[in-house]
Amino acid sequence: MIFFVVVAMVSCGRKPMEGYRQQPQLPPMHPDYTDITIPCNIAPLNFEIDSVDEIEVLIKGERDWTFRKRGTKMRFGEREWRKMLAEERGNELLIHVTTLRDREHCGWRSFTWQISEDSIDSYLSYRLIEPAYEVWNELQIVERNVENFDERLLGDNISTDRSCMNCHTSNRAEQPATFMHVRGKRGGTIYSHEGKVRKINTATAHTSGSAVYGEIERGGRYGIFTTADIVPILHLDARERMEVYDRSSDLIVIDFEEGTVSDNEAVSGAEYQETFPAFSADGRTIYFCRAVSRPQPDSITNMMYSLCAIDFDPATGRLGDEVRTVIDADSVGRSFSFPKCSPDGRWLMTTVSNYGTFPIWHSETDLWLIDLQSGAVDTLAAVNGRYSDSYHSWSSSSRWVVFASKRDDRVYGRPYIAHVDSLGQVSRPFVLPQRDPSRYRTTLKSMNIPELYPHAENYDARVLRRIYFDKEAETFEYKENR
Amino acid sequence: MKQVDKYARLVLPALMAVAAWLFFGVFYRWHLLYFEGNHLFLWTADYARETICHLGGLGDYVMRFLIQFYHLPLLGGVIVALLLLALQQGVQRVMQLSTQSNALWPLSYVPSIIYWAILCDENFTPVGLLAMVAAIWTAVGIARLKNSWLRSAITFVGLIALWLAVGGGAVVAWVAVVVIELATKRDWRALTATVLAAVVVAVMWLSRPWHLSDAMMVTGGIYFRHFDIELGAFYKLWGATSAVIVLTPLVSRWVREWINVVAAVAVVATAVAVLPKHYDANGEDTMAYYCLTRNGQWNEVIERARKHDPQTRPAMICLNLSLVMTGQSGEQLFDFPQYGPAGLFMTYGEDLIFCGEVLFNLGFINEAQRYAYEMMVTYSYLQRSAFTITRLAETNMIAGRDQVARKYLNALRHTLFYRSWAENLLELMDTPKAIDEHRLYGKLRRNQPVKNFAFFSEKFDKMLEEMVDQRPKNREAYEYLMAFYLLYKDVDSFAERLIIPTKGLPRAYEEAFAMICRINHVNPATLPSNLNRATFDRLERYIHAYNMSGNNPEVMSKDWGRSYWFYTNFIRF
Repeated sequence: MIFFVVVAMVSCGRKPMEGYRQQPQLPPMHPDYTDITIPCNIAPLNFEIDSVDEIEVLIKGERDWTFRKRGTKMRFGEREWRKMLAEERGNELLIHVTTLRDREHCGWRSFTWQISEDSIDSYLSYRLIEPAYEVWNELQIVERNVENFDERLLGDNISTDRSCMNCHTSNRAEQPATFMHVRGKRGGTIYSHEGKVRKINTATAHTSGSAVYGEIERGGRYGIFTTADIVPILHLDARERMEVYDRSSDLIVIDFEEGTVSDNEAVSGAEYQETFPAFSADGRTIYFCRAVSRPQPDSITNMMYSLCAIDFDPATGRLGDEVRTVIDADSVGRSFSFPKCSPDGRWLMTTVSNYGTFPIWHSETDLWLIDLQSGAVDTLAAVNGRYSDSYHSWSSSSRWVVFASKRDDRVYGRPYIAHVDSLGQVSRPFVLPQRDPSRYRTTLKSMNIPELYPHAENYDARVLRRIYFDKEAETFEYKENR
Repeated sequence: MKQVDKYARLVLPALMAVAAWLFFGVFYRWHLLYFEGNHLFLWTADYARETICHLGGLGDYVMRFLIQFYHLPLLGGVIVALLLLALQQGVQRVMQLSTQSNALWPLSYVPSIIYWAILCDENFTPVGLLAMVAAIWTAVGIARLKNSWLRSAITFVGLIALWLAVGGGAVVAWVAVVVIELATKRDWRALTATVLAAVVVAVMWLSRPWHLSDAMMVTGGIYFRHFDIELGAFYKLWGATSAVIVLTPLVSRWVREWINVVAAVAVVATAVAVLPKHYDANGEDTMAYYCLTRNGQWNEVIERARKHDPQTRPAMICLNLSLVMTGQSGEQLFDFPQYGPAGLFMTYGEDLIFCGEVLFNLGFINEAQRYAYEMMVTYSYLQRSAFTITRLAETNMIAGRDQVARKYLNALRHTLFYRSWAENLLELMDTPKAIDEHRLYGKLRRNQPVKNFAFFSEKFDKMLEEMVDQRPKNREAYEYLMAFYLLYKDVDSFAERLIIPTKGLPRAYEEAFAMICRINHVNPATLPSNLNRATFDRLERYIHAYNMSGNNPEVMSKDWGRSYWFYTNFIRF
């Protein structure tokens, strides 16, 4: 009997808070999840509010949803959250947050969550690394299920001689092909396709070094990559941190089926530096960034990379002979990097900075959205943050982008998600939710190179370790681009 | 002899505890401070969870909790001394339980003496010591249980839990439990429990998470500061401890009091002979220089150098930085045995710790921050260390990156000894213009470079030139640059940059200037009156003495060893 009385009292306690003092401002929540559009399959948007004893969230949609937690952290129940997203899909929800502090209830200004009809790709990979300068010690490639909080390691450099690993990238196809570079003595490019995981040495005697940045076309056979001699240096100006430049850089095409690497005079040689290649949605064009070579680091601020394009024949794997300039860097006064086409072929999102080829360290870095039909450029003023919005990735539906942003503190990169509608309107971005909402405030690691994809990677860190130590890297032959 | 044996048994523990306290709390205090500075214990649930949730994590957490008190070295010495004493007393208790006598009790000091020697190397953490203490007293606790079934159950559960809690040091508990059991009760259930516990641990070992190496399974990765775990020392230690525990009951029946007394003398003599050899005097001295420099205790650094010449390059860098920071470099640079520009800076590949202090204090805030980051990243054990986190908070605050500075300061608010420091800085950031007006941070903010340029640690003199060109009022950078010129023997660049103030030149500068004048046949009479003519006369006397000495540095050093001229003629680098 006593038990039932206690249960009844506790249940009564779940009534919405009443008789509170209303505040005119939005709740001081971390992370900031106010007035955003969210995918219909996103994990709970857990948040915290400092110095409160209790948080209550009343969500008004088709029906009312009430969540209450003691303490400073609002962790939504996952089952209840999923149910709410399913029932309220396509609706705009009005969120009332009420807090209790020192026995005083406080109501905050309401805000909205637009539950999008569009779902986001279920998986997001990113690299966990301390935002150090030249050295690293522990770094991991993590695959996160964005529908919940599950994480697993795709790579952990503790198990691979502490080698650097980077650029986990997927082509987001139904039969996905992915790659990731693992450096070190026994490293190589890890290529995964149709259930097979291969380790490839992409360096040849005729090309300058191994593959770096790149993409794989949707068929999974061809990849377009940069080969670059990358040099890090340090700024003395306290407003800047690190500078990274390419002593030289060219583009190469890798045929994973035939095991060959080829290049083309149009995108190699000393006159220009070419980097950050990306396939168009139909695979017939390669967008990339190109600048006239200049002596560096002295002329580093004059290194302006234009957005260029070159034809590609997906049947033969041949690059065209003519480079077209899509947007001249000098004409807009910005240097381009990381162009990425939306899978529906309509949009191209790119990173722009004041100069150079390594925008991650540039605090002025922004994202621009280019309409590939009209050529119109949207500078995304309402989307870009104060500091460094850079590496981005499209979801396979073309309705969501994720990008690495240092907007919160200028140093630590975090994955932000934004909705892109059919007209190219990009919503206010929000940071990837975490089970522990204080994670971003306490972690000493950056989450960089975020990459969205619909199907889970078919290997993990354990497999990667075995491949690293036990498998010899396949050697690819150089093939002339005829 | 019986009385001697009895009194020795009573007195020696106290003697060892006091000796260990003095050793670590007084003579190794800079080691303790340095060790503490490379840790950061946070009073938060997240930190506890993060630390405890791995093999040996509980031991790691408890020890990190204790290490924070190294901040007060005398208290830190007490902690180490008590742990060593607890280990000795535990081993002695195990020996008593297995022999029902005090036979060979002096051997119970062997494990503590070995760990004492191990702790002289700052790369070894005291977690392994705590693990052994926990292991040995767990064995003693189990032996006290009279009920056979209960003892067996506790043995099984306790040994597994112990291994999970403190790591490989738990092996000592297995040995002790088995020896006590065999020597006394011979209960098959308890013995079976030890075997079963070992089987469970073996199964866990074989099915361990793929990323854990054998070395990590042995030590939990926390007994040693670096990734390449030094297992040999632990094998010797555990082997010696096991040998003491196993052999004692086998030979106890033949042991007489006089043998105990002889053994006690032998153990004390061995300790007295061995431990001083493990005392790292140079390391202690260097750490003293670092800690004093880190705290901006410039005069204490110089005083220390006056008593004993710095023996290591990092110590020399601390001294020269202190001379510059106190404005005494021009006067006293050659009062100390300089051996070239290596005493001013090391390249990025050689050092991150000491040169980080140079960069910070000369206004190279971006580089100081980079060095702190790299230091934090390079040594995983230092992932969160007071030295790096406080420096990162400072550099970000000076550079105006308030948000990230607050991130570090908010973490420091959860510490015992850095809380008020962090709150002061947070208050400073909340007060408009307070940083600009702050004695240290305001100056450092003003001393930063104005224009951007690429930094190369291999060309630090060029970096200083750039800094001085951009920030002519950065006195510290100017003096450091002049010290570079002098130590490089680059008198042309020195003369080019030399500014002669109205009150005249400090001694070292004037000696260099007099030398330049003589080389260029400048008549001293034509020079400004604020230059001391006596220096020119001294130079003439030096040249005369040099010619008379037959180029003999030993003869010359007596009267001229503290002059720039002597350095120029005789010091090679």
